[in-house]
Amino acid sequence: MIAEREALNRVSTIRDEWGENSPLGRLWAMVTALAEERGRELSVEFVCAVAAERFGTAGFCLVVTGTTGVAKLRSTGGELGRRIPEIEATVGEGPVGDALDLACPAVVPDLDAAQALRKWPLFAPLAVEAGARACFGFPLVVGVVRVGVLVLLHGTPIAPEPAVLREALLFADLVLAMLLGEQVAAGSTVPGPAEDEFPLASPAVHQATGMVAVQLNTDPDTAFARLRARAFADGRRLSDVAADVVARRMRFVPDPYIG
Amino acid sequence: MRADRVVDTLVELADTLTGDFDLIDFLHLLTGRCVELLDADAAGVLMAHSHGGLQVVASADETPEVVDLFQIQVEEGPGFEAWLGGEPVSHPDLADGDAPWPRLREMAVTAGYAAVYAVPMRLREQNIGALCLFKSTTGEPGEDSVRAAKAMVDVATIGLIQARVVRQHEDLIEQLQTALTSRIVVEQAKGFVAERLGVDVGAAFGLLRGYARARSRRLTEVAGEVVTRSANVQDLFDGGATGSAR
Repeated sequence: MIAEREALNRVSTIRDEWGENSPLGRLWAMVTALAEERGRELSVEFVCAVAAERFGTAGFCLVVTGTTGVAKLRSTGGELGRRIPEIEATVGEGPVGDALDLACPAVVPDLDAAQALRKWPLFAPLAVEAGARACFGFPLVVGVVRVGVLVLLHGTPIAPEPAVLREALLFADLVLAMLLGEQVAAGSTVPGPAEDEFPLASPAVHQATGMVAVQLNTDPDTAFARLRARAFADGRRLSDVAADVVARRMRFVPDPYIG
Repeated sequence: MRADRVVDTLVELADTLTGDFDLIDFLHLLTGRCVELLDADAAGVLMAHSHGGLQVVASADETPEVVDLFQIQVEEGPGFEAWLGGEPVSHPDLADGDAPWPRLREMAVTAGYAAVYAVPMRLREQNIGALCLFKSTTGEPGEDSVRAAKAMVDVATIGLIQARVVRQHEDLIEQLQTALTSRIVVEQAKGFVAERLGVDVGAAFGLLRGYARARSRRLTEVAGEVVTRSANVQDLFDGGATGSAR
């Protein structure tokens, strides 16, 4: 338990290390201050709500995928945020599925335009009927590892400025980091990202994910989670653990109890 | 460096930008041609992501020691500075103790490189990345080499815009984001192949690329299938892998 507490302390240090210099660090500082100001808990839900507020959206929804690959609705904001995933689930096409399958942002500035109708012939008209006119689906992915999708919805057509879109992507990355942190710190109250160097810049981290998937005969999601859990438990940087795996100084062995 | 060879290469690269080409594979080819033609012994491409930082997307040589020389430039180095400033940056003698970027310098010298230069990648007034070149001999690169490097970087930028997976996005930020995710999938596949076949990650890249090329398939697509254990690529592990390890 002491090791666990140390690891938790380390997580908060890591967040501090993001510092004012990195855009993600600035965003983290901003939402932290805002949560304090409003007396709210700093959670994934809170960050999504702040993002929705910043972009003047009419609603949002956050879908997360477990290691089983089943998409679950984690959080919504506004009536649209509830309706849109319902519509998508009914017709089987839309921003959540696209962002997840294609692993690239699904940005539709006008759902009533011909382009949107070609993209989603069933979804687009129903979404417009429900009151949505623009939607931005951001995949929360690390290579083939799919964590979820954040969808921001607007009631009017909108073509976002690059700076706005960049900030929305930053919010999506913060949510991704927090979801990854939650997985690692499952059972604890750590809300924040457990990553030492988001956005996982080191290629070794991704190479190690592939190697561990083979070593444990498992899927990349589980391999990635195990890699992060190991770094977290040992209080080491993820990139250092990954480098050990790639250099074959460290191997993962299947857990006889968990498999 | 022969000017007509450079022109031939630019034509060759432009020719590959049709139909179903793969951006990561294309940039790998481009960096390889840089080493062949320019005053350079190692070449890599860095691109910007939404966090306002850089990520390595291609290196002519995929062995970790060489990739690390570009990887470290997400924090310091001529690639980083060329991207920030939008102007070429160079240093003629990395063994010189007064040279900037101490960590990069040490790694480069250990790996056998003596000089470095980088040219920015620009699109619609935005700095989106850099092409970085190392030389194993000291001295500034020839002017014609710098000019050719600028032409190469322009072709790389066109490649980014043309790539099929990103073409549907009008916004540059989305295009970059998609390209960087592709690169991560390739890294994951490198690790998977390295472990399955007991080779190093550099050789694993060669096997993946050779396999995709031999079947006229896109590298990123094959990489995704490898990591998710699709039956489509099972023959890669049954001794069906062909192609050179470069």
